[in-house]
Amino acid sequence: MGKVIVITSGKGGVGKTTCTANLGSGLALAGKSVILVDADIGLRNLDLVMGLENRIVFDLVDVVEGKCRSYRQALIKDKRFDNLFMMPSAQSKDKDAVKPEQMRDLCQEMKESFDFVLVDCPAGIEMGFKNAIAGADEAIVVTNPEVSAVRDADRIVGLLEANEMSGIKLILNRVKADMVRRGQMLSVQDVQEILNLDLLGMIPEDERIIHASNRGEPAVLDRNSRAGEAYRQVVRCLIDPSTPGPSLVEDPGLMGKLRRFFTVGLGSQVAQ
Amino acid sequence: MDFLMKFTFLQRLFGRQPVEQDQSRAAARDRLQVALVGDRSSVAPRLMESVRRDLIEVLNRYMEIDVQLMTMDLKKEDQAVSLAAVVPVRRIRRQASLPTECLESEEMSLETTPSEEARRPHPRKLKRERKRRRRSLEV
Ligand SMILES: Nc1ncnc2c1ncn2[C@@H]1O[C@H](COP(=O)(O)OP(=O)(O)O)[C@@H](O)[C@H]1O
Ligand SMILES: [Mg+2]
Repeated sequence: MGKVIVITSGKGGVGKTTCTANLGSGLALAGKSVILVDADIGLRNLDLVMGLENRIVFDLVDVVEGKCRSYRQALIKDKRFDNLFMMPSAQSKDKDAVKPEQMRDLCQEMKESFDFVLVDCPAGIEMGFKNAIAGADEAIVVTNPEVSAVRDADRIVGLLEANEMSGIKLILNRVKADMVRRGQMLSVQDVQEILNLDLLGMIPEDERIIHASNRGEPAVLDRNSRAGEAYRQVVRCLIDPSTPGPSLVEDPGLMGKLRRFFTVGLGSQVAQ
Repeated sequence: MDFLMKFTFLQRLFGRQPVEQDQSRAAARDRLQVALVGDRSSVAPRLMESVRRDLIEVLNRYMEIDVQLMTMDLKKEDQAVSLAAVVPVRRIRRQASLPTECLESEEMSLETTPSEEARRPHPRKLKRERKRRRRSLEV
């Protein structure tokens, strides 16, 4: 029996879809069987980030309305991995087209045959959110180190707890180590303390994420991407929860290392 | 002199900021913390009701209070939030009715605390304190 994990946020545009695509591809890379469910009905996006946009025949709403024989008929196989599939969301229907019970049944059926089912949740706290979390065993809350995103994340955590969700974990996305160091951005510890959640991952701001979604190839597969490396670390934690989590210190990066080198060097010179 | 100039130049080059530079991180943290107290208590309307009920239950063990006149509020100040409760007290219960662990701990503290004289506050302060306590109990 697999596990259903919903990826949610409250505020839009913080990186849920990117996170779903990267964790899904990373898990598949590690040999796990995975389904990614795009539960953002009316705002289909995951297909594009995964590079699977031209292959869609049936969608999530067709499945719950019984328009295909089994949910498997709507699954789209990934280009790179035989053990990775995507369930596309409907583009034309509205958010009430799926009911929480239907979503729960579908997730149940999926996790009987797959190791991981990742559900990409729509932004907001309306019906779409309630549907997306209905069948989930665990939740990942994605946020950015910005006041509005953190506040909305807190609201989402409250709603998840009210729905008796256990195992809520935090991914802090788009961390700019340099700004944190200058005291101009909330640090990982700040956000973690405020939200009081287990930290699953810290993803740096990385241009290669945009590069990756331009081509429909998740950055987790890109050896040169720092965000990709951070996602690979999260994947290891998802597979084996005893893996040590991310270190709380932001990677100083090249400039940081150079700066440390020079300030230490100069410091000793001043002392002489 | 030369290396000092080099020092500041290098500091600038590598992004080390002067100390007085504005640090919005702390502001973000503090503002969020205050905002979330408000958010959480307004999102859970029964939360304050539940706190009130528990508070009454605890206070009732020690004193008779006027529940009708009791008020309780989360007060938002600039930097912090505080819970202010004003609870009119009718009478304090006699020692005999206090839970046993309460009496025990008092006995123990009597042994270890300095002389009665040193602990006793100024008489006028004491009188004021008693009067205030009779009127209401602030939490
Ligand atoms: N670590 C990152 N570094 C830079 N850009 C990012 C990062 N994560 C996400 N983005 C960008 O942020 C935007 C929103 O991401 P998306 O995953 O669509 O958010 P959501 O699904 O929460 O609305 C996209 O343009 C994406 O490329
Ligand atoms: Mg999205």
